[in-house]
Amino acid sequence: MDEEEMPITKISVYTPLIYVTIMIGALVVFSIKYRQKKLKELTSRKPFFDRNIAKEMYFELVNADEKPNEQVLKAALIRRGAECIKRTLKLKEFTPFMNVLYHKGSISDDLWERFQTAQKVEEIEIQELVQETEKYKKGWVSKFLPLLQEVCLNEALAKKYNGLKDKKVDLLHEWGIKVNDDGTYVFPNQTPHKQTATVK
Amino acid sequence: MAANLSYDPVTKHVSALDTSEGYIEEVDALNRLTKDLVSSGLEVPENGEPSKQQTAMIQKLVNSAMDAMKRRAYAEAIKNITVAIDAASRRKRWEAFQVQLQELIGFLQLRTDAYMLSAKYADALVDADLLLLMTALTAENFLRKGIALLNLGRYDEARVVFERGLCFHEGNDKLVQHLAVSKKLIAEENGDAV
Repeated sequence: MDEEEMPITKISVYTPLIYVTIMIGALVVFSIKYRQKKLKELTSRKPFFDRNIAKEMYFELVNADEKPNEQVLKAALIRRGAECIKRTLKLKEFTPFMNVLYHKGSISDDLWERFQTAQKVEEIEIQELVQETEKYKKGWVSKFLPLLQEVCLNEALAKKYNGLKDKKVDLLHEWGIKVNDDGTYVFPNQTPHKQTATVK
Repeated sequence: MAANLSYDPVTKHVSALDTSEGYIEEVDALNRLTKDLVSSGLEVPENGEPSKQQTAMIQKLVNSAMDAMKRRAYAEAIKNITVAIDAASRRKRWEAFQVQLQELIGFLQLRTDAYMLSAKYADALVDADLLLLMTALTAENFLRKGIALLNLGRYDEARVVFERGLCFHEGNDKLVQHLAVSKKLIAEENGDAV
C-alpha cells in the first residue's frame, strides 16, 4: 500500500512561545482577580465579634505623638491580652455547638467562615501579644499569659457585681412593685407570701 | 494624642473622646489597671498571689458582719459586708480569680441572708441570682432565690427556681417543702385553693 505523503505545515518558532505566554498570562490574571475577590469578601464580611476596643486603644496609645507613661502602655497591653483571652474562651465554648450546627446544615456557610476567621484572628493576636510583651520585659511572657486570664475573669466578675443595683431597679419596675421610704414593698395586685423564711 | 483618647501625663489618666458605652467602659478598665500597676510599684505584674494585707482587712470586716448577724443587727451586718465587698473589689485585677470568686460567694451568701432577715427581698433576690450564676451546685442558693421570689409575690417564678434546684439536688427536703408552698400559693392566687 502506497503511503500517502502528509502535507507538512510550517509554523513559526514563536507560536508555542505565544501559546505558553497566553496560558501563563491568563492564569496570572485569573489568580490576581481571584485573590482580589477573596480579599474583598474577607474585608466586607461582618466580623464574628464586635470591634476590639482594647486593641484599638493599645495602638492609639503606642502610636500617639506624646508617648504615654510605660505603665499606661503595659496596662493597655494587659487589657488587649485580656480581651483576646475573653474571645478565645468564647470561641472554645462555641466550637462544639458550631461544629454540630454546621454539619447539620443549621447555620450558613457565611457564619461558619466568620467563625473560622475569628479563630485564626485570635491565634495571630496571641502571637502578636507574645512579641509585644517581650518589648517591655524579656522573659515576662511566661508569666504574662496566665495573668491575662485572671484579669479577664476578674473584670467579668466585677461587671456582674456592679450590675446588681440596676438589675434590682429594672426588676421592681418590670413587676410594678414600688418601694416605700421605710423599705417596705407595695405590690400591684397580689398579697405577697407572709412567710419570712431564711436559709439556715 | 490619638483621635479617640486624651492622656494626662501628670495623673497618667486616659480619657475617652469617643462617648460610646463600650469605649468608656474600656477606658475605665484601663485606668483602673494603670492605677493597680502604679500602686503595686512593680515593673510588671508576675504572679496572681492575693495581697495578705488586704485579706486580713477584709476578714476583719467579715468577722464584724458575722458578729452583727449574731446580735440580729442586720442593717449593720449588711453595711459591713458591703464595705468588705468594696474592699475586695479593690484587689489588683491580676490577683487570683478563684480567691476573689470564693470571697464574693461567701460575702453574698451572708448578705443575702441579712437582706432576707431585714425583709429586703428585692436586694436578696439579685444577690441570690448572682450566687446561682457562680455556684449552681449549692441547694441553699436555690432556696435563697426562691424564698426571695415568694416574698415578692412572684410565686410562679419561685416554683420554677425550686423545681430547677430539685433537678440538681433531687429530694432536698427544704426545696421539696418550699416547692409545695409555692404550688399552694399559686393555687390560692388562681382561686383553686381547697
